[in-house]
Amino acid sequence: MNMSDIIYHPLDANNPQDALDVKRLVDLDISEPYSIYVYRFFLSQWPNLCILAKCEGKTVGAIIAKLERHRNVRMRGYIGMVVVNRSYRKQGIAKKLVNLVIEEMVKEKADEIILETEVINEAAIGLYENIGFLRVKRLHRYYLNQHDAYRLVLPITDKSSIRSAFLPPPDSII
Amino acid sequence: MAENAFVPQIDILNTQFTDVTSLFLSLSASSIPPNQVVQSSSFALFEGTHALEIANKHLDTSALTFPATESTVADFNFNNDSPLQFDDIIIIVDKLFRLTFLWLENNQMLSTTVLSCVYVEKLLLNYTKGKKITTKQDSLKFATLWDYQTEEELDQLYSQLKSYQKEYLQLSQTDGQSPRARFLKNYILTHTTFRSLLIGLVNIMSQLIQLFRSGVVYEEEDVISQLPQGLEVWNKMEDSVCQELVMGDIWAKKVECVTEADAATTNGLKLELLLSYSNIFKKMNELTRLLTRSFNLTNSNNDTIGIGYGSEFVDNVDASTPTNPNPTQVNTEFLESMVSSLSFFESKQPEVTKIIQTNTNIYSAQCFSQGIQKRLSNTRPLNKLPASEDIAGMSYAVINVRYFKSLMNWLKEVNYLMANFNVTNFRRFLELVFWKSGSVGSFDCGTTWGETVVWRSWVQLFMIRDNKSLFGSDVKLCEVMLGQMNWFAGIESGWLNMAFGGCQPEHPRVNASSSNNVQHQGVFGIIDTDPMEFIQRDLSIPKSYHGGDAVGLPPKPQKKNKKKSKSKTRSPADVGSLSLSSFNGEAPASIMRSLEMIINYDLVFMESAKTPYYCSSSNIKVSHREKLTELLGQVESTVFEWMSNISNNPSRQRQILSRSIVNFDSLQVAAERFDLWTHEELGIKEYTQFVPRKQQLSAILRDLPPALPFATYVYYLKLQTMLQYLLKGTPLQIYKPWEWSCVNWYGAYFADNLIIVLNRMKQCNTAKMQKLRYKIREVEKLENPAKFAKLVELMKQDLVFKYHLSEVNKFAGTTTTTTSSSSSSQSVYKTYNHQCLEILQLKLAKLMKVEDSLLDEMNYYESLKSMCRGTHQLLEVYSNLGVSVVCKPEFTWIETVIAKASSSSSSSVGFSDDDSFMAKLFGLRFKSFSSVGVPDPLTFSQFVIATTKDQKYLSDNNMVNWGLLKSNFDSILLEFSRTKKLVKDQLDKLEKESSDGVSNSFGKYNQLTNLLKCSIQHSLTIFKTKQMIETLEPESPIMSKTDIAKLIKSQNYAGEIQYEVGEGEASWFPLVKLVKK
Repeated sequence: MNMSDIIYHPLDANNPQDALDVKRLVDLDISEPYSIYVYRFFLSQWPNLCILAKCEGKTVGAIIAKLERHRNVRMRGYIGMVVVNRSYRKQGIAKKLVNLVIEEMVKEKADEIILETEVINEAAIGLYENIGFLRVKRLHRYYLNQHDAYRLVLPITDKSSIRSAFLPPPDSII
Repeated sequence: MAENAFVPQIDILNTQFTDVTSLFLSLSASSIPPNQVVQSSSFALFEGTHALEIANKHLDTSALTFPATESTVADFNFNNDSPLQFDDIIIIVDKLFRLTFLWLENNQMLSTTVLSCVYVEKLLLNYTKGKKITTKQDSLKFATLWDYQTEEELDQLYSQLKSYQKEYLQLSQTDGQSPRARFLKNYILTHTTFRSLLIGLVNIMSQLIQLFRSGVVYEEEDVISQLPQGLEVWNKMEDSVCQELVMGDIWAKKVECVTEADAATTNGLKLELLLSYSNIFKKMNELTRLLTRSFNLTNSNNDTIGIGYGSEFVDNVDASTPTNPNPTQVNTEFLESMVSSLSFFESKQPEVTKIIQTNTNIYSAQCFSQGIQKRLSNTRPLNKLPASEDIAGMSYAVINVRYFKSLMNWLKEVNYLMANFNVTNFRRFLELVFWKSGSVGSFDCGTTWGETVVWRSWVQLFMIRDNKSLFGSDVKLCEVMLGQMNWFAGIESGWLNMAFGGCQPEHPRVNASSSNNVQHQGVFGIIDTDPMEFIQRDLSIPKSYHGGDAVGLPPKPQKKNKKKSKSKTRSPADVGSLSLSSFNGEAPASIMRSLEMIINYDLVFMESAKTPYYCSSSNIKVSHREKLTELLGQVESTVFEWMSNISNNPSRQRQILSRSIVNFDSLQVAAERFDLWTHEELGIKEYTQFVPRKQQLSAILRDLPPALPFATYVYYLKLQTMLQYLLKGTPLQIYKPWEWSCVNWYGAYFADNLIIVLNRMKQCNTAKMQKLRYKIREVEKLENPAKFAKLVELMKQDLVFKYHLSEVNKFAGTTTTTTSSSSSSQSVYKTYNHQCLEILQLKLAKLMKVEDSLLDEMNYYESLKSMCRGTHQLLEVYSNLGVSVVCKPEFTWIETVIAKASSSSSSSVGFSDDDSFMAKLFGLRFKSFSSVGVPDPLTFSQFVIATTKDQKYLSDNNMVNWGLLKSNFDSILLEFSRTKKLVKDQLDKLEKESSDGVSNSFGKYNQLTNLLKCSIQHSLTIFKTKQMIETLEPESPIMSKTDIAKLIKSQNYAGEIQYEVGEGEASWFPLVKLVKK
């Protein structure tokens, strides 16, 4: 298999199998247990920010994200989950998925993109930090497995460098 | 179901609800395909994300199946068929004890730790069900045996329980004991001794749960204190628990008597182990009891807390200690006793391990299960039981050090501070807890304070009570803040006189005062009668000092020779004991007050200003008091949030500090406005510079900046918070090593600003000292009655002064019109003159001590500044050498993405430093400072310029001068050596004070020692790196960065990071070494 065999596309809302594939992948490989409601929350509202990686029709990777207004002053993207089938790792699929979703968010006027990752997940931290994400907080025992998390932020516009309370609401922007 | 199919508009209060569950299940549910959810605009899908999904094996514990043995385990609770032996009890309690700390340490659930023991589950379940024994079977399981202490009573019990004897007798048929003995042994062990220990343990768990529920720590983030559904927490049963434990001890001892035929030595050890557990469980009660004790911080004596509960039931409790409602010391006996018991376990660990390994009774092993997660709770996903290695890892040594020794040392420090309580020492305490020593606390036990959730929640609740008092004393948080400000900026300040002299009577502390005279009520009751009192109290000495008992206090002043007891021989600490009683032993308080007002009267400004300006409580309007009260309310809320941050985990602490920056910034604005108001409107003119009387004051004062004491102090606190927030990110590993350069550059900027603000405070203090010296000279001149009379006449131009003088004169038998020609009046003035001199000189001594404190602070920040500067320079050198671990990365992909998306080409990357993506990262990194007014937030351009300026070895075309680069190491070394010297000087000073008999906080030694070690380690590392660099032989004295990187790589040199440099400030400066791979 080479990278050109991998096809990336957003979730097809008319294809229920896509959602099931994503859930199956995440359930297998992510330590945090998620209920069906978590998937529905993301997939129903931001299907364009759920991108699947398929190899010969089989879903081998997925990213789930959202983009919404944060405190009514900035557009904040959030990467919820990134997963790649164990057999298809180390081939840049995760990086490609993250890049695609970032590009989509930047197009949709995101001011910043955030995510959390386990402090011990060096591979994930490396992936995000190489893109330009910065650790801004350490979250004590964030995960059910008791591991701390880092909150990572990718600044897109200067709004990400200003406290929310000091940003004008959108209505006041001329 | 289609979205928006039904949008209910419900008036909750006036709606009759109908249960449609069955209808929903029979009709609608069948039409919902699997893995779909019902959506409606009346609820957000986000709410559903917290739900547990039924039948999801990861989330729904009710869907789980257990092995067949689980049902057996679940049923056996206190099973009469399987009576427990000493060994079983030791094994179970040992495991439970470790599990309790695993619950706290690893954020485990109760269901997977303490409550995984079916005996505990059963005990708590029975307690929850009815909290009383209702059936005969329960009676057997949980019967209290209070009435069965004598042999006759045991016979009676044996007879009553005859029907159950059969099972007991089946065990150890051949051990040669009588049936009665065997019965008693098994019954007592299983149902009394074991039960009492479990009660003790559940009591600890319950107390801790209640501690966590007080709201100072975060559920789930810090600890999971939720009990499974169907269980209630033990509530206020401490006394009965102690009684149970004492009875358990008695019965355990009886067992030993009953089993005398057994190997006495072994059983003796086992009994000792059980009694040690019992002791720990009993003493643990004291911890929560301390939270309700009030301590006296203002009238120190040597009283200690009386334990005061059920002491007739508890061994080793000093029942003779009188219960003091306001002790000044924490009795740490209970902790010492626990430490001792845990040390015993540590020493007997091989024997305990042997018991565990050789035990063949399956019950002690099987009584721990996941079953409770299915039986009682379905609110959390299923969790595994802790691995055996995790349980073993929670050794008694770890528990002892992390939980008890550290707490004991901390309380000893508290006792030291309480014994020597005054503003300076309390400041030290604040430093120790909140600021410089955030993670310091190891002393002799090698661990850190603040790491355990118990320490964090307990210390905050112990120190800051619900009424925002400290240790339950009559000292409030706000008072400490103001006291601190007074110490730094307010002594001899008219501002302080005003602040503490007037406040609206609605303030609770004012209402609490017995006096109805608003004029003499202090803002927070600090001064009930007079502004001077507060100032005096700063250095007031404990009563015990007069008894000569207090440790570390200066010797009692000798009063044999009255002349020698004057100011020159008195310590500044004597100010509190000084009064004007010698003026006239029968003088009423009002006269004393008037005298003090006269003494405080500013002779210098009075003469020049010509108009009354001295602002005392008597001339403050109600509206002014309201203004002050409003401001102090803001102080209180800001300080409360800042100080209560102690209960947070280190990660959250940093976030709260970020919020505090905004709070302090707002407070600073309010304080500055207030300072200017007092300056302009009230005429309290204070400046950073002293101006002699004979100079043209009015002309000079116009150009002098006002002192702004309150705003200056708040600014100082804000800068501290900013620096702390910044540097605490390093040990949390929030910064990547390539960022340390700019972090430390920013840190040096804050340290520099702190030095500037401290210098400003010092200038103000110096001005006050000069003024006092001037006053002293003036008063000394007044030995001549004629001169004095002249001055008094001048003073009389001020109505306030005139009023007080008339009061004094009236009392002395003179009138306001009487001049110094009256002989009685002369006598009054003479006495006054002596008193005045004495007090002025003591005040001067006090200001000198303030100056000393300010110099200490400046030295501290100078040392931090050097550390930051050295680190910044070093990392830039490493970066230029191509040491990859600290090299700044490039982010070309995201720069391109952002540039493409940008509609305006002017905002694309690369046009200037501040437009670059790196500048965005810089802005994000220091976002918390972006909203602050002063000091100015720094920009990425400034960082680039400052860094370039430092890099003299780097030419414009980015070529490196090898010789200059090598010599740059010398200037870096100088920075760390400077820190070393500054810290060493401080330590030497402490040593000297110690040898002079001044008691110092050992936490301070610890802090400075850590910093000293850190600077030495850095110096050594840099020295070694310099040596390595000097061995390299570049082809040319001027090289490109790429060539240098190649040269470094060719020698197999690489960067290595060592985070564990030390505690406290040392953790802010990890070592970056150049090592040969």
